[in-house]
Amino acid sequence: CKKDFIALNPISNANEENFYKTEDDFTNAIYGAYSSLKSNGIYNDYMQLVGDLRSDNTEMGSTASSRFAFYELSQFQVQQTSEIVESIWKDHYVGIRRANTILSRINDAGISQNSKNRITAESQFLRALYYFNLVRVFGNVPLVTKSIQTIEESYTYGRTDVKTVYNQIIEDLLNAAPALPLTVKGEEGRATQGAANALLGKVYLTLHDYQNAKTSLEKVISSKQYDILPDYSSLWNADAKNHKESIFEVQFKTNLTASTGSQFTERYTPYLFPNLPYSSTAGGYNIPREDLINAYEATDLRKNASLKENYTKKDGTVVRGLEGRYTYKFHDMPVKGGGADDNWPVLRYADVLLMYAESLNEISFTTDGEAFKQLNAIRKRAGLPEKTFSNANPLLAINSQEEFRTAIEKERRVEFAFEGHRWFDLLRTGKAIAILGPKIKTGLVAEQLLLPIPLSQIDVNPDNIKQNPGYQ
Amino acid sequence: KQSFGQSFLKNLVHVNLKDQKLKEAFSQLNKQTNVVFLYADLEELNKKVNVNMEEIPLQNALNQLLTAHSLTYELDGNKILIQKTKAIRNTLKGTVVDELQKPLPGVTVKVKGKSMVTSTNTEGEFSLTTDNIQETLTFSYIGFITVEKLVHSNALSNIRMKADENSLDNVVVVGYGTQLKEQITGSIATISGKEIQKSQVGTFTEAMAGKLPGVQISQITGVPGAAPSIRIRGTGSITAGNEPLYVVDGFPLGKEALSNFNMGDIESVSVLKDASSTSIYGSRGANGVIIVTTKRGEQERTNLTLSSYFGIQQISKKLDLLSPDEFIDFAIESRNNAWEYLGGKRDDPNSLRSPLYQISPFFTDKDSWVITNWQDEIFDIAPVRDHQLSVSGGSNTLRYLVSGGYYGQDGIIRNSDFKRYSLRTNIDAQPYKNLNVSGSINTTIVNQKNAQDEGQFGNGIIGSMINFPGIFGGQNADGSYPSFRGFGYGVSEVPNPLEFINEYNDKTKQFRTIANLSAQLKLAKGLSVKSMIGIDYNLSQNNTFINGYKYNVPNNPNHVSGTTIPSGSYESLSDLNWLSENTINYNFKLGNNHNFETLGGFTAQKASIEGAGITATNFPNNLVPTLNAGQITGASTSRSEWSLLSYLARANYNYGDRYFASATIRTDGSSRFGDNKRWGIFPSLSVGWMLSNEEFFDVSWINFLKLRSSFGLSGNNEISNYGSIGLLSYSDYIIGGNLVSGISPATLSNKNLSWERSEQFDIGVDIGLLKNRINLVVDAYQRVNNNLLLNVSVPSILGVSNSLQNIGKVRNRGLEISLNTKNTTGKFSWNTELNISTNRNIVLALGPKGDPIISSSNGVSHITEIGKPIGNFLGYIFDGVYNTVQEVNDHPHISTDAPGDPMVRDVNGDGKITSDDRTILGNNQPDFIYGVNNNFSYGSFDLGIMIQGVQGADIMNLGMRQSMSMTGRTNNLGIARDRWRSAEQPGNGSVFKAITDVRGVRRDASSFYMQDGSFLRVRNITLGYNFTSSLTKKLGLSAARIYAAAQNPFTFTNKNYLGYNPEVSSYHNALTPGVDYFNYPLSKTYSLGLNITF
Repeated sequence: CKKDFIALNPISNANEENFYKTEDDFTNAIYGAYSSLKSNGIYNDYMQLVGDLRSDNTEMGSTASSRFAFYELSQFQVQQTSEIVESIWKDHYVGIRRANTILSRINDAGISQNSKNRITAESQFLRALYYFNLVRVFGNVPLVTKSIQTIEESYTYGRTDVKTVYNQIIEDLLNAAPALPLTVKGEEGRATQGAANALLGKVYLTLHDYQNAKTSLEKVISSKQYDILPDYSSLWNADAKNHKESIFEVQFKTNLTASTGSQFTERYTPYLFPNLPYSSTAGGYNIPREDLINAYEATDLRKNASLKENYTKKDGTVVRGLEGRYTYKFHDMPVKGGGADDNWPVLRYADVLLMYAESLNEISFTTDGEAFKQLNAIRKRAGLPEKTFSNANPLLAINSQEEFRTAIEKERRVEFAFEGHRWFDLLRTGKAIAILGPKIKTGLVAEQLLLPIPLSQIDVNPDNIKQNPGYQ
Repeated sequence: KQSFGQSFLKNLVHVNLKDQKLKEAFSQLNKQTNVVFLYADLEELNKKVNVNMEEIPLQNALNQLLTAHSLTYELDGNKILIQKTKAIRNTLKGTVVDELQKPLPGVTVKVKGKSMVTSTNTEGEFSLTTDNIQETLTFSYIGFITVEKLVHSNALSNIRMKADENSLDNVVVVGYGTQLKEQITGSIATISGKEIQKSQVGTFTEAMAGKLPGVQISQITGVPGAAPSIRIRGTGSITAGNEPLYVVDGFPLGKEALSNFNMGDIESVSVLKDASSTSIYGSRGANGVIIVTTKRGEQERTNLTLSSYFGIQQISKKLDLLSPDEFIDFAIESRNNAWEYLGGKRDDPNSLRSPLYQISPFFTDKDSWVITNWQDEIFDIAPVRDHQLSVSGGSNTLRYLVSGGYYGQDGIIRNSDFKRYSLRTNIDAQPYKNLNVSGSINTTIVNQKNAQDEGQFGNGIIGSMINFPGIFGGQNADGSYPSFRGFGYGVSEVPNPLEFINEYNDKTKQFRTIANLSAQLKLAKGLSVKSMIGIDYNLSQNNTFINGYKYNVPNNPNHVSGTTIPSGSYESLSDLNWLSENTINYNFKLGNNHNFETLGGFTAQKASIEGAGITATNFPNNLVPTLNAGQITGASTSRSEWSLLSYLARANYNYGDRYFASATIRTDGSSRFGDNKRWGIFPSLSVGWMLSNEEFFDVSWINFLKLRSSFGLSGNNEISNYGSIGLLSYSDYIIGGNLVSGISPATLSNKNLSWERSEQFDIGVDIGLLKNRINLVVDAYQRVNNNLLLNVSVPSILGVSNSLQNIGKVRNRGLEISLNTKNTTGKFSWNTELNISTNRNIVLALGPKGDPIISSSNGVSHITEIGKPIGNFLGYIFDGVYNTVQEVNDHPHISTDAPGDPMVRDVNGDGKITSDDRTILGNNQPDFIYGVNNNFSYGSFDLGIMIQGVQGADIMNLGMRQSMSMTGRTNNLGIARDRWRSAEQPGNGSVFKAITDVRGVRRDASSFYMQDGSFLRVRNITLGYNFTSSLTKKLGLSAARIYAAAQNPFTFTNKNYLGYNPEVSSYHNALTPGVDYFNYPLSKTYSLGLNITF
């Protein structure tokens, strides 16, 4: 009696002791690992802003003090105290812990082998995705592959070199791909073989391992699970998401009671946009730069599906310029306070095709070969003429491997505008400084290719975590 | 009746009887005086006696002969009648009153040297018969100085008794009992309810500010009804809370300050400071214990008293802000500077500028402005009132007290208030001679309107009021609000402060009942057992509703007007806490000099907490504020519990009133701690030596001298209820288009998690000089808290960023002096109570690797590191403003720095300005605190002046990040006038230039934001008048007093302090104290009051 009186267990929370037992427990746990995808520091905001705001694609429509960190991001003046880097770091490691906890518990759990295999593979896939983001944003990062149980142990982790992190990512994806299902009909949002292979292709491409990239991407293509949609604008229809072109999407659904709606939709409206069904001061993020608008070829169908250059107020006045332009890809008008229905596309088939084309071109430039075919498939859907070898129109001519690289870069910029790819594309191809440098008032130097490690992480473990050069 | 006029009684006579009958004497006397003696044949007269009297007056002879035989005589002309003595009695009569001429019932009246005793009735009257015509009577009454007076039977006597100011201290309430003050060996400060009720404040702890040594009480916010922060002997804990434990009538309630407690019910408060007094509270005693004892009924003394005051409050200080013209000048300059920095020209028209650097036409269209002084608009004069009515009385076997109270304080910010209704019943019964039963029920209802006061400028009145320029007025004709929202032109979206006042409704209701029943049974001499059960039920409910409303600037065509959506929320929290306490007392004596008082006990306590919250939005209109009218956006409930099982014992020893010792021990088992560390043991030992009772001690002017010392352990268990268990949390996700529930790890398990351990050593001396006209108490202590419950920042790679650990060690050392003097006595009396305390805090150990804890309030602002006090301010050292490009280049600087930007010091000397150049800028812990209380009385008048002060506390004014951001996006403080404008007009050299864009470190914590928080505050001045007894009698009252009082009338601060209240602490905890971030200002109160006893 005495002992019971003071032995109280939580009533409103499950705890580690009584969880991780049944198949349902692990299903809930993997959902928990997926739900990290929609944290601010990952795909509800910051990763996509790093991809576009930190490039010649977009800028901030307001520099109100609450947005200062974003303004700094767009100006390549990120501080080590920035809430953006802080959240990216923390939210990714929260996701990694969720995956690691499952991986450390599932082997001994008495659940079916099938579930065990699938949930293990999903955890590996998510862990790989999270590390892939971290390593591209921060460079060397602590590589944690188990559920750390003591605080003391966490202090022993320093920053693992990029190569080792990539090896872990590749290992996870190689393990995950075969164990994942080909399709997830009715369970859209969970990882598939295609998702693991497409991500693996992207990882290899980033490492300039073109042969392996080609192999992985070919697996996606040959699986015949995906196709590009004929109408580019239908990609952004929130009512028909998880479509044929989608390989891996972060799932959002408007909901007043749960935090499952997408917030980025509202944030991409113009600052003080009056045409929402309610008044909001949340807009003004990711505003298309003039430079991007000019990058679209004249008849590109994608332009109108991707952005708007002005809007008309109810009283008929037209708002133009910085305050009038806005991103239109994710335009499902959010229900009051419940977020929007738009999913976030992490991997889509057009990306696979263009990555495939890029790998082929890097392996060897073949005039009007398979790489040209893939590039032109994308251009065709956009209503644009094909680009060919020795085309009479110099704008449509690709006469060398280097010119093909440029064509891919230009194509990817407009195809994936606002999808968080631009910065990482320029980073991967080594063109960031050459292309962005001249467009930024303060210039761009190599040290700025990485974001600073959050100061809090250095403050807490100064012996093992050192700042990236240029940010001390 | 006897007449002594007859001269013959003086005639000298002689009587000589040898074994003769007594009546023979009359024949001898008749022969000598011719007086005729008449007598019956009384038995007494036939007794044989031996008498020999020579030459004594007849009168004396008769007395000697008769008195011994119960006979007396009576004169009848020149005859003397001898008869048996009737029972003659002299009656001594009188009335006992107090200093206010109010009758004192129940006063014990004793005949000195005899066994005769009585007590005064309800009118204060006594009547005593004695066989003497006069007697020396002693009058004694608890709380009054005992009076001795010679009383004659032939006159009514009026006896005036004076209250003994030290009387409440004679018996001190300690943990689980009481103790005689002179025998106490620990360090306990006490304050009477009477003293507390002198202040016109909402909470009793606020009324204690400055009056107790070693107790720092800070009014960190002016929100009506807000309880102050209390630190007893410094800051011992880093994250587990530093507030003391509150115990009301023996019931440990917890650490939440008792703002819902009616001050009028308080009889006395004891503040236990050292370990010998606190360790009896075990794992909850480490931050000190505040024991509140409520008033109870008194035997045969029926009282009906009414106390009432009414006051008006007004803001204690206003800030110096830019005027509308100054703001516009500043705003335009900031845009020009920013545009110029980007390569434009200062005089470029808007058409050439990027939108953010354009100048709003509204700024230059002075005719459209509505000039407003927002501080005048927001702050009102607000009333405060307090009414108390109580009835008490009783008999030998039953005593009662019933009291009701109302306290209502309106906020100086409209739409904020605090109203408290309280009802208390205390009953003490003695159904059998050896059984005492006591019961109490105290119910309090608090209704509060909360203004949307604090918070950033976008979220609260204070911030908006400071930052919203005076070019806008209140509501437009159509009900919309002019606002910086939707204004454009690069302004910050400061809402109109009136939006918060008019459109936000936030009400809290609190219902609390504390009830207990106890029975004490005397089993034998010195031996008794006591059992108590108690409950504390606290329900608080909060309802908010934010109206939908429009914001618009009609005269600004580019303004994007908008409408907000109505939204609302409901929250409730109920806390049911029960306690069972069983103790046994045995007091005994060994020999003549060894006195023991012992206590043993067992207690069990458990609390269940339930919370619920609902939020809703999209209300169709503002008509129905309840949530059924909107769409529910969130709803959840939660439950948690804690329990505590304890065994306790104490032995007090007293040898001949000279040597004292006290030992206590408690063991606590707490549900909050890890499996491996459930039970803790908390012992203490203290000793005292009363030198002044020693025979060898012979210093006439020192009448009291006691040395004492104590050492002991106590604990701090203030962590979340399940802090040791690794919890999982819920997160939603969408799979296959459906909402699914994800479950993931949220906190780390720690089976070794345990209480903080506080070891305290105290040494003190109590001195009374000149018949206690001067009383001095000095205490020195060292308190070392280790195994601190530290929510340490941990590497985020763990998936959590903080974790609770028993790590770290903090030491507090301090000195407390309190000096009470009776400067004059008599008709003009003046006494002074002075106390001064100093505490030095140092961190001895931290974190797994001893790394400093960097803490954020609004951005990084504090550091706690080994070898330094807790919660040092961290930031850059601001060295003024760069005046020229040359100066920029000559200093280590940030790449974007230009003339007019802040210059910060390269502390580590590496030639660069980096975060490593942040350094310690000061600390909010004061060098010393003090209080001086002077009480004067002259005749019917009394005057009290209470002064309180804090010296050497630093404040970081982070509100200035907005109000001195110098972006011109908001209004700024008046010191912005002294800004840098150009090399030729550098201002005062310590205010940087106006520029819309923020670059460099100007918004990071730096010494630019540091201010001196030292202050001296006159907390209370009260002038009272006591009605004379003749007047009160006419009015049918027994006593009456009126007074006028001023609360917080003056506060003196350092000139550089720019905020409202130097006691401010917006992010108040040990790690981030002393940040000024748009807090509710304090008010000063002027009041008139009345106390009447019927």
